[in-house]
Amino acid sequence: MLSINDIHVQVDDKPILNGITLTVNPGEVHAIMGPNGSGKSTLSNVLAGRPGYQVTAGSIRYQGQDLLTMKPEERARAGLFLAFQYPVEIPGVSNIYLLKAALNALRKSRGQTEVDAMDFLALVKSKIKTVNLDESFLYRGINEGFSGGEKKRNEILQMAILEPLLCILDETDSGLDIDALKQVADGVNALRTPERSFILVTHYQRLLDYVQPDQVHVLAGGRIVRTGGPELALELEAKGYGWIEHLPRETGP
Amino acid sequence: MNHSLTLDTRLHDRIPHLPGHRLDWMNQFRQERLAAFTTTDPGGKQDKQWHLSAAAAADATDPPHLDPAWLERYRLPDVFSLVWVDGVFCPHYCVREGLPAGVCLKSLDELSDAELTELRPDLTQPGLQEADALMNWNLAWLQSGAFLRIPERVHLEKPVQLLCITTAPVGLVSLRHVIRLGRNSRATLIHTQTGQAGASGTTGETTAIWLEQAAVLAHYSLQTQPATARHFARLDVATDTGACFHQHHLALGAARALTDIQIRAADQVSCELNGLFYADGNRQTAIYTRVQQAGSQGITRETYRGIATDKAHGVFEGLLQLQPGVRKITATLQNRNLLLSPQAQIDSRPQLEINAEDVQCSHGVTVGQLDEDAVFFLVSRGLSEAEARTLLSFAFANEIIGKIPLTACRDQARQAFLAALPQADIHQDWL
Ligand SMILES: Nc1ncnc2c1ncn2[C@@H]1O[C@H](COP(=O)(O)OP(=O)(O)O)[C@@H](O)[C@H]1O
Ligand SMILES: [Mg+2]
Repeated sequence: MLSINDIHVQVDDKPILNGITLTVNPGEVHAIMGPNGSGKSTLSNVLAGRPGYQVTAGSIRYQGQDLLTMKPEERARAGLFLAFQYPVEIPGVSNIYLLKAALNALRKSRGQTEVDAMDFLALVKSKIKTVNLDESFLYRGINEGFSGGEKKRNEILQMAILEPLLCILDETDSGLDIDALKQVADGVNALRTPERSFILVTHYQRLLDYVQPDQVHVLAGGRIVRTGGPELALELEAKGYGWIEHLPRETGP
Repeated sequence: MNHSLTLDTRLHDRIPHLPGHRLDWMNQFRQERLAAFTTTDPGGKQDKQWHLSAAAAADATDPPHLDPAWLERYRLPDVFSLVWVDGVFCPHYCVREGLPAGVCLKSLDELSDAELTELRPDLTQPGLQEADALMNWNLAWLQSGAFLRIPERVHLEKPVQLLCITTAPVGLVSLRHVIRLGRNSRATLIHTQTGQAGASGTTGETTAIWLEQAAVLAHYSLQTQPATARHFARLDVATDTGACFHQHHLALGAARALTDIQIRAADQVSCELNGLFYADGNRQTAIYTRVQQAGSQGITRETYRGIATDKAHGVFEGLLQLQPGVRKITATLQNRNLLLSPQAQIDSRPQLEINAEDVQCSHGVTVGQLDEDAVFFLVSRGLSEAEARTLLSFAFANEIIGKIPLTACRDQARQAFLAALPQADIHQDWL
């Protein structure tokens, strides 16, 4: 589904990712962990196509296509979804409008007709329950005045409605209390299928108590320094991030 | 100026067709205003282009035929309405059945000479500030306008809509509306200024509003003239103790549009002004507000937004004046502006003149571009970049439009704004 091959990324001529290699197969859940500033969001943003990042070397293939030549909207329409670490607020456009516009953009690109209004409402109402947000959030401005946890759950709601193939969650668990964390985890688990893959970017291990990853990668200094199974997350949790700095660079999996 | 003579003769020719032409004071007044027009310094707000167009022609013709379906697009459901087409009052298009007893809703042309004379102070006093050139011109050529009077304690349930429509390729329209709300009365006034494609004349409207003690007026004005027309409006609001004036003003059209709002707030007056302008192409739009706090314990809240794109130019000037000695005033002035192209320009000039203590006043101004993080967020959800930018511009405006409490008016304003936006593939029903 996704193969990242030795990518190097700079922002304003400053190297941030220094050779990342990672393969995600259909249905897999990969966790990317690492200290603050290690490049986790940079990797997520590069995958989603955010402007301002220069990929100076390496390549990324997604669904048989050269991802880096695709515009962000083309990536979204091809099933790539990024749940943002810091979701933006857009007052003046209702949340439900966004959901509908996004869903229709995807449908249009697949040659489908616009979603029927009643079907859409039914879909949204069922999905919003799974993230435990009140229906009134549909009619508020996008993330307008939402708490941190509500914003994160709103990202999961968008993901649930758009049904992407590759879901990248950038610290969706950060700043959540345990109930909200469980709701986010439930939202992710509800979406798991043999075809759909996840990259869970997280600073802490606790999300992984609820969503079982296939692989855990540790990112430090813009490199993947270790890859392992779920036990690696527990090890990190126990030892903290300090010890990984002494590890030799590992070649990618 | 050499055009004064032409105008003078033309005014003489026109006078038999204008309201009050048998009244000496009226004719005298017109002459005075005309003389003043030719000598008034246009000042900062206008330039010669207005004058040249004013001198170009002054032809009010018979009312042209208006497609009824077109009219109904602008007439809101369930309102009393007066309609002018190219400045000519059209009684057959008006809706006035069921007006409560004592409420007067007429066109100036329908008033007798005695009634006009009774209205003389309202018609002739310019308001807070001396008449400027445009207003003098408007008063000299005064051809029609609304007279609305609501007696004490009457609550007018249905809104009153004044529809001023231009259809003619050239011509000048000059209307003056006089609105008087008695003590403790309430009303909603909607002022719709629009034109058919190709209308390219100049419309000047002045409105004088008197709010007596504790009267409450909700005022909506929506200007959607075609990009070939010119439009200027001046609004003078005088208030008595405890009155309440809440306004929503949308200036979306016209090659040149100028709105000048002047308010004198007495004790315990609540004044809320919300406004939005949108200018594209080579259009120029300006909104001036001046709120003079002459009394204490009042609240003034001004919230304006502007959007300019292409090579358009927008101006917002907000002047808040607190007279010496007034106390316990809360006043805020907020102006946010969005530039959508590198050649677009918006000048924002908030001004607070505070000669008082024990008051809370604040203002904030921004002129900026679309938030690129928000653009990226939307494209990452599958929208094209153009769709994302359009949606964000809409969102910016919709924060003002969404505040309009009257549903039909809000929907119409939203529709009008969407029609003004390029590539606005935005569907009303989900907003
Ligand atoms: N837009 C940017 N401009 C400059 N530096 C950046 C930018 N984005 C990220 N960085 C830097 O890149 C490094 C990695 O950041 P980031 O990817 O956000 O890390 P993480 O998500 O792991 O905390 C940090 O040192 C950060 O300061
Ligand atoms: Mg991050």
